[in-house]
Amino acid sequence: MNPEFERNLWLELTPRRVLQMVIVLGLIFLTLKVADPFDGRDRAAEFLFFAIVVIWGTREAAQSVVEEIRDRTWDFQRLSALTPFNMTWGELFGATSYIWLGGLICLAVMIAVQGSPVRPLNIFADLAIGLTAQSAALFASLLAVRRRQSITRLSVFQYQMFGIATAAAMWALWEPVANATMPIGISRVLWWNVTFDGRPFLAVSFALLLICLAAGCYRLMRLELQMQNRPLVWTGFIAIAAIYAAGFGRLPDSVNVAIPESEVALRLMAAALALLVVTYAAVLHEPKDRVLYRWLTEMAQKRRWTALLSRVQCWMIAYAATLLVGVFLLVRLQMMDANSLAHQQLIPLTIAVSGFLTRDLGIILYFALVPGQKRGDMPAIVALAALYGLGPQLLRSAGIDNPDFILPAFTGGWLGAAFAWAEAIGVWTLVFKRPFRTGVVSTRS
Amino acid sequence: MIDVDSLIYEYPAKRALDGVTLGVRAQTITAFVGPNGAGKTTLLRCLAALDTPYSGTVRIGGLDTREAPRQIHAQLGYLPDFFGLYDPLSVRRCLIFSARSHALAAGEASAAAERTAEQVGLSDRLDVPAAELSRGLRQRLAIGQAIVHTPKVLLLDEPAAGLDPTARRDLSDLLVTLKRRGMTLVVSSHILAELEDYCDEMMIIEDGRIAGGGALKVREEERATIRLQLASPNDALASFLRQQNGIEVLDVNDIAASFRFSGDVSARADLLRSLVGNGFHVITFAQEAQRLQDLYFAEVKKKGGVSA
Repeated sequence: MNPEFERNLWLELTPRRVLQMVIVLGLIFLTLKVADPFDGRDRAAEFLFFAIVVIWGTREAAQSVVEEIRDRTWDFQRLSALTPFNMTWGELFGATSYIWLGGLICLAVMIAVQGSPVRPLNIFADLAIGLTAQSAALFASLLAVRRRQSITRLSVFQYQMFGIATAAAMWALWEPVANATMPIGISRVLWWNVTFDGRPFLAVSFALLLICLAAGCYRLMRLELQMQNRPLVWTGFIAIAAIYAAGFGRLPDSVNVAIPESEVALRLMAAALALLVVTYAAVLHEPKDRVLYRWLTEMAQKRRWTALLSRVQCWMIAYAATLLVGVFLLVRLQMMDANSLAHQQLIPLTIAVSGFLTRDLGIILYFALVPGQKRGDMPAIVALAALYGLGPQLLRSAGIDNPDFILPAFTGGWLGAAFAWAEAIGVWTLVFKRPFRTGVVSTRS
Repeated sequence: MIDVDSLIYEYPAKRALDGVTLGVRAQTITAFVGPNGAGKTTLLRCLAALDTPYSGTVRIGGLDTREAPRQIHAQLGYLPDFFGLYDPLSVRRCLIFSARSHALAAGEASAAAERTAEQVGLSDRLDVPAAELSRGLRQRLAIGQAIVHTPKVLLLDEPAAGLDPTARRDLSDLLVTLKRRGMTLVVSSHILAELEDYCDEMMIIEDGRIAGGGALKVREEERATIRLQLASPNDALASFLRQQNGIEVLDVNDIAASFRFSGDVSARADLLRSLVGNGFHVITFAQEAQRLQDLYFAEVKKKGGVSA
């Protein structure tokens, strides 16, 4: 047996705790049977399943590694001979083993009460939502561990909430489709010009999300165990995300949209949007390590590209991919009718969006590289909120009627594109003036 | 066994290790000493492949810490200065888990746990939860976890902190035993007295560098310093010692001597037999360690004075 899983079983599944769980759940279901003449035990079991597996389970998953760091046992773990795969699943399933005991009891009651026919897709979805929520919580906590954030109860709550939010989003997608309460047509999915039944499509999508999150945990665990991650897997992930999003690039025929007329352009826009989200998520969650940036700069100066690629950060790859898809989109838009609205508005908008993205990345790094900065990305988020939220208001109050050029807006036009890139160049000039490149003071006096 | 070349480790605003180059021979005990904040712990963590250096290389048993960190972890034992234990688990389970996580099979792990508990003096507490152990016993358990898989290299950061005198002596005996069994040990401490009993070499770390550029010999097995004492004065002692092969007399009078001896343990036994055979009433014949404190301050003095 995987030693990490076994250790967790020793800690989690003590005979007393197992007995407690069985007795408590048994009493709850017995009470429901006696008290409820309409026998709502299947809904109660489902509710309890999610309460235990999602709410409690995400907390256990979020705490698994974090607790080891707090209890100072993590260095022993990092020095073991366990593979990152064994460590990941040992932590994920081991730390939540007690939770799954309760969850599986609830699931068994659900199946028993529902009787035949058993709906396997529903059961799969319940299990997938639980597992994905726990994986998301572990993933969030591992990201924080990489950032060497201080561990507090509040931070564990944040990782738990990430897991719960993931489960809530999945549930919100699944519930209407599973119960067929939505109008026919919406419960069917048009993806890459193929119409799928909503339930299996969502089930496969959930499985894909679960695999991606589990792979993310595994990759972060590799880094914790001092192994290097080559950029290929992350590149593969963002390619999958872009292809998945691009599949929705054609709206159903019943929906009447005028721009852009090109299906390819729409798909490229969907892919670019997905990559944009991934880039922002990555840059906000990866450690902004001044020593690493100093090292990467040195490798670039020495033209040691292989070494540089070995430690390049995920947001950098996602940013490059976003720009690349943006270029393809520009080329496709350029091929369209010069008088079309798409041609006139989307080309400058695409250039503006890439400029604003570049600027925002610069702002996030600029604040993160302040010596002694301990507030994480909050100053950068406040600055971005001010730029996007207060900026237009300030310009309007200064008498400028159309301040859209400071936003990634359709009406920003070429002025917006030029403004975005001018800001980006200015911000990055400031970033490179930060002392991260020269700030090392030798301890030798 | 351990080779470090031009190692640089940087924190965002401080260079913690500044071009450290050192070598540690197999089956020796090497001490890293120096003031707090000198870089001892950072250096140990780089040796343990727990932290990635900015530049330079660390090789453990020929393996590069950047290229093969997990292979290195498998053959390494490490006791951090601040450590934790799985408090609800028994001593036996803590040791078994540590053994299993270092790739020992289930059957082997159980035997290794019992053997290690014996070595660290915990065999009578195998079924006691770690939470119920005293501070000294927890330290022993942590050391047990670090050695249960019989690593080739053992790194210990302040191992005697919090131990009572008896436990310190036991620790010292244990480390010497582990060395004799083939282990290479590196111990970091800023308490010189505790290192004196067992370390062979000392490296003074200061401002992220090795002061003096290398290791100072504390104890040389192949050229040991022997302290000799007689029960009664004998004028012939000096001339007898100077006639022997492989002896460099450091200090001698008619009742005591101190000399360097080039020879293995059997040659040392022969010399003792010869002394007794020639009528010297020997009451002390023991290998002498140089006082670490003397070595440390001599090195510091060379550098022009450093606060200790």
